[in-house]
Amino acid sequence: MALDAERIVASVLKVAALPAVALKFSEAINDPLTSNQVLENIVSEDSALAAKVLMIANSALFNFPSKIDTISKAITIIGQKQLSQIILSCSVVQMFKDIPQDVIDMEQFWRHSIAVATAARILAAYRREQNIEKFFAAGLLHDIGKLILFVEAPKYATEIMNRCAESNELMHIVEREVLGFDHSKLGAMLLKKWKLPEDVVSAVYYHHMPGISSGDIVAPGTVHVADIISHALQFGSSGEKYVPTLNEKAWLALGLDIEVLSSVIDQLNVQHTEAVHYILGLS
Amino acid sequence: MAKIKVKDLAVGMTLIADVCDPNGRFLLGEGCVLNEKHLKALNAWGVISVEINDEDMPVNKHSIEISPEIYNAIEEQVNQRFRHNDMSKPFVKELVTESVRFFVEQLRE
Repeated sequence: MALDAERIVASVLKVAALPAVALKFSEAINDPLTSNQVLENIVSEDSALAAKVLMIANSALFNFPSKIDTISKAITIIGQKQLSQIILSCSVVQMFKDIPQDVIDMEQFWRHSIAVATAARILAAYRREQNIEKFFAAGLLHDIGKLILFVEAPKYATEIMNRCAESNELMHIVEREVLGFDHSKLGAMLLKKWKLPEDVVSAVYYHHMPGISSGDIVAPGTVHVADIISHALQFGSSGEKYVPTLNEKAWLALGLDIEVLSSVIDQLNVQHTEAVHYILGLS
Repeated sequence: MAKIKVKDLAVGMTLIADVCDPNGRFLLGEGCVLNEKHLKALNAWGVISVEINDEDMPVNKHSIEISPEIYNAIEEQVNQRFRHNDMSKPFVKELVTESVRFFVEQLRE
């Protein structure tokens, strides 16, 4: 029997609910009237998270001369927006930590996702987008559909991985043949259920086919290009051997000069190390 | 013309292109001779690399030669990974070149 994407997503929702704290925090920082006190209260609801926030604020990266001992100070040091990205990232990493290492190397998977998130944020900054955190979120979550497959349909996921290992095919193409849909559709369906912003959902949905997005091409196009850059430089691995096919329309829609690529890569290299350190606790 | 990482810059080097921060904010102009303050500013604004004259380039970095065999092997590997892409497209071409540069540089370090 063919798999039903709806049913898979309904089933994964039972185990993978986005922690309320991540949603609450990102909603709160979008309200200009939110004070650090309110944010502190949200973070403090989750004591593990609160400890992590303090650890990050006191880490060598910020090199602050005295000890940061309150969440409110930590939020000031790290910055609300960056903290929101860290909270979202840590929440999803935590959620899928039980996938066995022999199925997919989760550290490599997140290294790749963090690279796409960071590259998308850098590209968005070059475009002077207002809300670059959205691009980070979309990049981070672009392949989450692959994890859903591993959790809910491991047999199919392994079949797809094996076929890709033996052939020269791209994974999302094989997924469409085997399942009738690919990981971008599954991921977008889950994010929609999580009530993430519409443009984040569509960026994930169209990250392999930004050209056919009916709405804005910039968000999916940014993730598309960020994905290709991250694959080219082999930051982590999502299980895909090859660099996905570029949709030139997506790159052109970003309106960026080809010369920025070199600086984007330099920045990505530095910021990726930082972000991996924050999120995975690794250097 | 040579690209150099900000961390490798030294006082007295001359910029041969304008420098902007990652958000496109103009920081320093072409022709500026770097002093201690400039270096601090570049770091503080998150600039990663700038362009300077070839003769300003520190020698030790440049002198590490990568053998042609290794270079070719890297290039071959990168090309393989781009097999699903049309190499004639400008973005793909540039990304292939940049990827090879990236891996060669990593090897140097």
